[in-house]
Amino acid sequence: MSVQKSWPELEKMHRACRIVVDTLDVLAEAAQPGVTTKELDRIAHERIQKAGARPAFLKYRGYPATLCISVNDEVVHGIPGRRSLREGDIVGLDLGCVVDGFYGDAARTVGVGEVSEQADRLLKVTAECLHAGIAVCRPGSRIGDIGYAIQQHAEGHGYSVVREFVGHGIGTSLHEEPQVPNYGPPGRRERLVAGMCLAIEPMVNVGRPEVRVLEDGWTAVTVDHSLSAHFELSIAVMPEGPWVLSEPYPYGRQPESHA
Amino acid sequence: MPEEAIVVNARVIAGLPNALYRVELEDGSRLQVTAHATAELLRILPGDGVVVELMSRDTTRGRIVGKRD
Repeated sequence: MSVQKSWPELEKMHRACRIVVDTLDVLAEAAQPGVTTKELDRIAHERIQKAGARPAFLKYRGYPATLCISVNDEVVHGIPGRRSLREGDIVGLDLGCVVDGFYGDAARTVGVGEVSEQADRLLKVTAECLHAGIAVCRPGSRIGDIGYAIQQHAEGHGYSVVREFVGHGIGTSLHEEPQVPNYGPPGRRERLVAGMCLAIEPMVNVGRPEVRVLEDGWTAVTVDHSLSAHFELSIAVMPEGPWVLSEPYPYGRQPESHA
Repeated sequence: MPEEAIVVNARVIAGLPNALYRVELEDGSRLQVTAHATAELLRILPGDGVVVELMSRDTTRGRIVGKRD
């Protein structure tokens, strides 16, 4: 059972998520043809430090960078390096940070310059999958309802969802219980309660769902080399429904200091 | 950053003594798992689709937590 967060704790998570999403905005702009993935990692690291936060992925289980950059058929956990982005690539940017001991985690996949119609459609559908998953997050729903909503939407467009990697609870560590798969039957698994925080993150492939991990021990690629997209937001379950933690205070809530 | 899934789909290859089963995961790897004695799991036969929970980082052991529907 995931830990339920108090309102002051949710405010800290909000700050962490804000920094992550602001940084992703900058990175999405910077992802232009010719830029190396290492350069994007440097930008991410600087922004996070300047904001007074700490990178969440750096040294996590030995991960060597601040950012995960997964290009084209890379699904997740791509390590920044000397690779230059090219016109038409799609680039998954996955970033996390820690503020006052609380984690924020978010990701999005962007096109470099003009991308193919097929790639553009994949990005659109995967983003919709994320929001379909978030939409069912209210007290009383089940974890399985999230995966069901995501899988239905992805497969409804002829795509497949990755099984080997899953979303997760988030809070005072990057990965907390429960795991949040992007597939499976509704009405199963843990029940959602107010105060739970979840990172919801559909990984959607154009082709087959299977992935394999490269020799670097991190980079996951699709086995059939089809394009893959990944979108992620951290949310809190509020009594009224979901709060995307990088968004302004929801449901008429005010910052505690003003209340 | 996504987490590696610990609950995965598998297919039963063979039933062994002592509520042990040999299963094959979707990635083709095989392992021996135990089953919880819930009513749903009393009759697990070779060929059945099951849901297996792996021991967090030890992917050679696990237990059957449900049947696939």
